Amino acid sequence: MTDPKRQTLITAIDTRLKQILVSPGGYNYNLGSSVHEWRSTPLDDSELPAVIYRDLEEVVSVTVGKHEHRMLLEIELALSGATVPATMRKGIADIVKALGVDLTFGGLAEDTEFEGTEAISIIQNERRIAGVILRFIVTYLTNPFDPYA
Amino acid sequence: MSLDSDLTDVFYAAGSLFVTPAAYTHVGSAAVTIQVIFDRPSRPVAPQGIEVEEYYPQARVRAADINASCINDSLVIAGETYYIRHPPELTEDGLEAVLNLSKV
Repeated sequence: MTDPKRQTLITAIDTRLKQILVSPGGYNYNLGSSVHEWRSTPLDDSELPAVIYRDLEEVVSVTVGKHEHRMLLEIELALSGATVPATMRKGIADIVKALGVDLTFGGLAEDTEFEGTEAISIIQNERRIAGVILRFIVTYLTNPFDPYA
Repeated sequence: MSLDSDLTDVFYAAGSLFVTPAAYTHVGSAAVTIQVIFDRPSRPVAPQGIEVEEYYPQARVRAADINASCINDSLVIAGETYYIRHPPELTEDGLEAVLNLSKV
């Protein structure tokens, strides 16, 4: 059996995040080298910069004979370095730019909205380590009670 | 864990399996070679709730080998320079000092 549409969409999002590379992507950082789906174990500092994404709650409504799904996509970004406030801003820009490449993920979604970020948090010990959470709403349609089409 | 004085001498003897030679420089003095037990322990940090295991350099030294006022002193270990930015933590018997080092 094929994957449900939500899984297909998440696979496309994963692929997109992994394309955040300095070369050939033209992004600021190689965030795509350390992308994790629903990671529940702590990151090792050698894995930074890193991205963790989660598909969270999904609100479904009925529209024109379809189920409209509004899925909350949460993306955590962690990175380190002496110039961390600036690098964090650039990292946020990389993620927003990447998702903006195609808001429909090849026609799988109707639209993607950027909801914003939480406050940047910085912890200073041996080095500065920072984290931020970005939130997006991805809207997609399925036939009623048919998650596959 | 702390070592008694005999064991400390054995552990910190030059050439012992446990130690690495380090060039220790007290601010304003010439460098001297001391023996350190070098490690990279980790501690959890969680900026914005994102859990990261941060590794940091740490050296155990014989307390007698470093100056009592060692803040901003430096250690060169395997070609890397580390600075003592925090007061050393002495073991219960006072024979050893744990130095949480910084590269900056």
